[in-house]
Amino acid sequence: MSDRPFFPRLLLSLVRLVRGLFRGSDRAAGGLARVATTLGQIAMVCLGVHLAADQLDDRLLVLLTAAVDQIDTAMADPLGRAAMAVGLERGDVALWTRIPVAAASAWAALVVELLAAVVLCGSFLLTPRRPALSWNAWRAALSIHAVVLPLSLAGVLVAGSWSMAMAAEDLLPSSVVAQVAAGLLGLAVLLRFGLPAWTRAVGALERSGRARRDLLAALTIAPVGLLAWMHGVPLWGWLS
Amino acid sequence: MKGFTELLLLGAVCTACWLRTPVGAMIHNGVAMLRGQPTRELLAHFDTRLPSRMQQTLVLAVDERDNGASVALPPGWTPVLHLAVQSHLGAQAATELMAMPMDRPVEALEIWAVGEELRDRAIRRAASAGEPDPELLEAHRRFLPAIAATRADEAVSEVMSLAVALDLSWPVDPSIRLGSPFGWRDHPILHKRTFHSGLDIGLGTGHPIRAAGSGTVTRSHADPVSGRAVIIAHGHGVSTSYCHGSALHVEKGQRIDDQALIMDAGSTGRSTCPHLHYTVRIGGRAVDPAIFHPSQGKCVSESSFAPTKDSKPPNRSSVNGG
Repeated sequence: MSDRPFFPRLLLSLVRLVRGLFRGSDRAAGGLARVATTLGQIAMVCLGVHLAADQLDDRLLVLLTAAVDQIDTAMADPLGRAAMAVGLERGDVALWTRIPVAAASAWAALVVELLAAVVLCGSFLLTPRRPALSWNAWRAALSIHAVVLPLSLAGVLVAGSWSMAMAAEDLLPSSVVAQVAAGLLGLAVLLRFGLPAWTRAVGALERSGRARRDLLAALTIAPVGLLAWMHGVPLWGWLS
Repeated sequence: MKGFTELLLLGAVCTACWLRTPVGAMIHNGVAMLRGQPTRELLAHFDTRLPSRMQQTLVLAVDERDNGASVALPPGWTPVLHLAVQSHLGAQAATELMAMPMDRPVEALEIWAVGEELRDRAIRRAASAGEPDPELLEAHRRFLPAIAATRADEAVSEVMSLAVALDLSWPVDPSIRLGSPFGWRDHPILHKRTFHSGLDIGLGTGHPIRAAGSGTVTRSHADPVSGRAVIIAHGHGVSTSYCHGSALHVEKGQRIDDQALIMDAGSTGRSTCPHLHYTVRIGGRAVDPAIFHPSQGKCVSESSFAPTKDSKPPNRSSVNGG
């Protein structure tokens, strides 16, 4: 029987209870690490790929608008004359060029985004959990895919973490502290989710007999990776 | 602590993905469809400016509005509506529409675009499908053939939104000098190249800000980026937003008239000094508000609206501060 008075003993018991509950739930949360890592990695790839796809949409819009205007200009006279010859109005034949270019470019970017997200997520989810990352293994697997995948995935993951940081920054009142906190959050998700995903994908690269499929995958992720490096890495802003 | 930290990071990255990417919207839509709730628009995650064709039309129409001579119009037609038809569909279409024996412009525009027969058939099918107001284009649009629906959109939705936009007034005294313009700029706080979706007008704290047109207040609250802000929907997809105010005078859902007092100027949110960040959106896409300025409309060149080849930061909040 302790000599301590009743209330301090009660307080001590309560503290122990709370500490026990905290440790227990922390361990339970830690037990979800594998699921958390997988979900976090997928979410980071989605964020990074979307940043690149948003840029792709802008570029496609410029190209499509220019192309439709060129076709309109080039075809207006011959088609207009032909239409009037068969009793139609000039305006009727121009209808086919009234393509909703903004929607078309956004849909095309969305398709590329989904394809790239599937290819990039597959590159680390469908591989052994802890592959050995070595320079010699990478050289042995050297192919277009083996070069494009690490570069694109790195760009996308950095872009994803930057997107994450900016999302956090938007929620906080504008201050240096908010910027630093958002930057640290971005760095934390990059190290916790991004780095293991990249290591796993690159470590699992091997020379496969499916060169055509790998080339197709590389062609899908290359523009996304390039745009992610160009617009999702804050380095260029700092350098300028 | 490690387990909780991991869950916190996972929560942050998954929430950002859920709210900011089409993949998040697709998952949301799957759940929403099962529960019978409204879905999210996938393409809303792609931040595109107004199509260049319509931007050019807008610039020309504002120019015409300021210089044009008045014409005799049939009942139901207003000068800006006539101008919107003329600018968007051409002079020939305007002549044909004015000659039609209908005093309801929306109906006349749709009949001109798709023909009476197709419209009547779509209305009958909408009525039999239980639509409460089948005569509205939104109610019977899905019963039109695809190409006719596109033509109807172009004639009705785009012309009507153009007319609403052309009718906008200026929210402050027009003699006040304009500040940071619409377009790409180096953000004064973030020190990054960002797209400025509106126009800044330097004002003293407490300066009255008035609605640029009649409409319904869809937002009236504060957030860390926009500060105290008001968004007004003017109908046909046209909306205006006013950010960084010091005091709000309207509430969400309130109907207001043109030039009604909505806000006092201030420097709340992401702002370096008292000013109004004024944005005009047509169909959700930002256009340069300067073209609606009473004395500046004619000065804005078409090239300032063309889709830009410059770099762009990733999606930020829809009301871009600064």
